[in-house]
Amino acid sequence: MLKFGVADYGLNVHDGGLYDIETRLRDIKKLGLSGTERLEAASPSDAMWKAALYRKLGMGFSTCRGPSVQSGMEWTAGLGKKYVWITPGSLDSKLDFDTFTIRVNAFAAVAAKRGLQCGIHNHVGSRLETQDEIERYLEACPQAGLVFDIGEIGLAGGNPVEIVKKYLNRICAVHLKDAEITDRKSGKIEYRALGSGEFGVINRKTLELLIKSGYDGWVFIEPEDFRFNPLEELSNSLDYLKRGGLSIINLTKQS
Amino acid sequence: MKFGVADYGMNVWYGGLYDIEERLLDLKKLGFNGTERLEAVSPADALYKAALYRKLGMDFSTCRGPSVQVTTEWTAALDKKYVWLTPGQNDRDIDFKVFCRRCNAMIKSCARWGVTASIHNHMGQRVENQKELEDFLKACPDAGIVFDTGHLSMAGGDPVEIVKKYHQRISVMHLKDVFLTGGTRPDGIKEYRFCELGAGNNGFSNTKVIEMLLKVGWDGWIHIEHDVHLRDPLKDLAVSLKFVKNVIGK
Repeated sequence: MLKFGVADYGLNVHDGGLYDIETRLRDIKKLGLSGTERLEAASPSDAMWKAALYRKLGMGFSTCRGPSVQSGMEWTAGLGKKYVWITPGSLDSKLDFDTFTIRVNAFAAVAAKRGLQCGIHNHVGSRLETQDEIERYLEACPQAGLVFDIGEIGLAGGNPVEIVKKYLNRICAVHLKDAEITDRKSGKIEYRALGSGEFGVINRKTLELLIKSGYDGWVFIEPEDFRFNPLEELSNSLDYLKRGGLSIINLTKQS
Repeated sequence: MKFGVADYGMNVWYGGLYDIEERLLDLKKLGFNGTERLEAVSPADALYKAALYRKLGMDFSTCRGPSVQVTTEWTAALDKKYVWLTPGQNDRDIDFKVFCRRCNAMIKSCARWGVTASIHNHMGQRVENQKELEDFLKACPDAGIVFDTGHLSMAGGDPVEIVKKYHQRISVMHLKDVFLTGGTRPDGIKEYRFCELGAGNNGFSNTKVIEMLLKVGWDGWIHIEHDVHLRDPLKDLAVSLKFVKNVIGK
C-alpha cells in the first residue's frame, strides 16, 4: 500500500540535528504522515529498539542506516526492509562515470546477496544528476535502482514522467520536493514546500502516473530546507498534493 | 502461503538447536521457507539472525527472547505480527478466569506494540479442547490463535470447524498428525504420539483443514510441527511438506 512519509534531512538541517526520534515521529504523525525514510541507528540494539518504537507509535520506515555500509545493509535486511541507499564512496559529479558504475555494481551485488534492492538518490551536483546520466546508470548497473527524486531531476532539466514510464520497476522509493531557481546565472536554488516553487505540477503529475502505474511503495516529501515552520510547510506540501486530487493518499490516522 | 517448521521436535531429537544457519540450510533444501521462531538472546543477536535468515532466503514468523517484554519488542521491531501468549502458569490446574485475566493483560500490552498475542491450544495445557478454545476466544476477544490441528484433534475437537469459524483469529497454523500407540493412560486418554502428516491413525486428516484454509482465503504461515520423531527429522518433515503441497496443488 502506498505510504507517505518524510525524508527528514531538511528537518535535521532546520533543527541542527535529530535530537529525539519519538518527538519527531509524533510530530509528523499529527500531520497524517506514516513515517520517515531512514531509521538511523548506532548499534544493532539501537536499531531494534527504535524499530520497536516506530511500531509502537504506529509509524514505519523504509530503510536503515548504520555507522557503516555493511551494518546498514545487515540491519536493513534484518528489519525486513527492501532497499538501501547506494553509497559507493564518492558521489561527486567529477567522479569518472565508469569508475562510479563499477563501484555501484560491486555494491549492488552484495545487497542482492542479502536479499536487498539498492538505489541511488539522483541529486543536483552529484554524479547522478541529469536524465541522461540516470538512464546511462540504469543501463550500466542492472541490479541497481533509484531513490527517485522528482524535484531534483526537474531541477536538472529532466523528465521524471519518462523515467517512470521506462524504469518503474527500478524505483525503490520516491522523493518529492519543490524548489525555485532564484538566480539562473549562478544556478542558485531555494527549496520550497510543494506547490510553492517551480516544480509543484511536475511532482504531482509524476506521482499521479506512479499511482496509475501501480507503484506501491513509499513516497517521501523531502524539503531540503525550510523557510519558516517545518511542520507547517510539510502540512502545506500535503495539502498541495490533496488539492491536486490525489485522494488516494493514505494518511495515518492521527492519534 | 509460506511453509515453515515449528522446530521444537527437531530440538528434542538433536538435543538442542546448535547452529541456526545449518538448520535453515537443511530446511531450505526440503523446500521450507523458514522456521516459526527466531530465538534470540539479545537485540543484536535478534537483528543479526534476522539478517542471516534473509541472506539465506528464509524467514520466520515470530521472535522469542529471554523475557515476555523483549519478545514483544523484538517481534515488533522485526515487523512480525504475533507472539505466543505466555501469561505464567498454563497447566490444567490454573483457574480459567485467572488465566484469561492474565492473557488479557498480556494481549493489551502486546497491542501497544502492534503485535497480536496468540494462544497455542495444547494437550495438557489450559486451552486444550474445542470448548475451552471457543470459551477462551470469547473471553479474550483480541487474542489470536497459534492453531494446532493435531492437539485439537487429540482433544476430540474439530479443527475444520475452528478454521471455518475463527480463521480471522488464526495468527499461524501448526499441522501435525496423531498416531494412537495402543493402551490408555491413567487419566483415561489413549496413548498417542504425534507424527508426520498422512501417517496418523486417529481418524483425523489435515487435508480438510488445508482445504478449508484455502476456501476462506487464509494466507499466512503453515508450520509443520512434529513434537516427536522416531527417525531423522528431515525425513519426516519432507513427507509432511509434500503432503501439504499436494493438497494445495503446488
